[in-house]
Amino acid sequence: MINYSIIPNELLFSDYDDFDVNYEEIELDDGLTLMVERIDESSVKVVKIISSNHQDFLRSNIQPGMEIKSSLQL
Amino acid sequence: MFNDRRENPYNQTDNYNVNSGDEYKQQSNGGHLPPGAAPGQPLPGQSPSPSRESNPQTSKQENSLKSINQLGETNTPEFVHSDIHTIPIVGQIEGHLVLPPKNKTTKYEHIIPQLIAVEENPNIKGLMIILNTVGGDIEAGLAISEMISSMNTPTVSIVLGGGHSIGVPIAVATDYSYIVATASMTVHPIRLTGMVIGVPQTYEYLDKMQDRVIKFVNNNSHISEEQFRELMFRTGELVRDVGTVLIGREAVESGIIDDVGGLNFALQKLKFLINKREEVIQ
Repeated sequence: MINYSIIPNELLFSDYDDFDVNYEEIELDDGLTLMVERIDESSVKVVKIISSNHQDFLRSNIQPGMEIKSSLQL
Repeated sequence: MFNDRRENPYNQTDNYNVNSGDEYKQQSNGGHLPPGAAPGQPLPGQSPSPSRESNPQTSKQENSLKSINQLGETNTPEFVHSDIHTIPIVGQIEGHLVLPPKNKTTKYEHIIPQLIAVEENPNIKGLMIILNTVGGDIEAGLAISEMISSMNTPTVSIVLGGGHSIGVPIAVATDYSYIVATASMTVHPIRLTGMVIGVPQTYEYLDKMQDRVIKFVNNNSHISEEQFRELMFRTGELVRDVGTVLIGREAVESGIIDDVGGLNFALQKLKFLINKREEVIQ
């Protein structure tokens, strides 16, 4: 990978070996799949939208970084 | 409400409540929010969904918003339909490697489909790119730049804070570019991550990669290849690096950026470009 940044690579990748990505996929009712990072039992953070419909990427409620709360239903 | 496929030990359904965006989806029939539409707000001419009123979580959110407004702690602007879409490109531009969480990143695999969606969406007339980036993956940055420069939708960029390294080609990729007076742009040689073999071919390889950036900037701005190379390899300006820092007007004088200006200028220019395009289409 070639990086073109003012942040030195040593700083950028300083804890690269230590961090562990813990991503999982969830599927929405309409079939859209999200890659998410679990924060705790009841909430996840959107990492990536996995879709071939580019309009899904304009949906403001599932942008990367957004936290989704889950609610348990019996 | 979204079903999670994970095994649930309590035999319960785990649902993700992503506010009322899905309710909106059912109403709009197209499946997508119009540009600028706030999730949970009805479309113009439509009454709010009954299910939304009965949703305790939504009404709780509304109540909290009301109390914030009444207390005067925040001033939330009213929702106005806009035909301009904004994409902020901030932090590191993340490419082929997932960066450690301490880095603030913009993922190129998310920006590129958004650009396609903007180009294809008839309700979006113009695109504003807000740049405050330290640079990032060269291939990801160039991919975004090429996508922006090949759009028919009018585009304007503003560099705020910083538009460094690979942020330079992204800034110039739009139809018109602005930089605020206090923002800076650093032009410097690229670096290589990982094992570097000490042979002349390594330098040639790096030189080729640099040429990609230089040629793109040259083709999409008023700076010549020679001038850009001179800025890139200038010594004595940066303490621990080779290159140049351009602040505000210097970026305009060098020919990289079109003009110095902030949001008002950028919006005016974008609206002008939108009108011009519509006149051509008619």
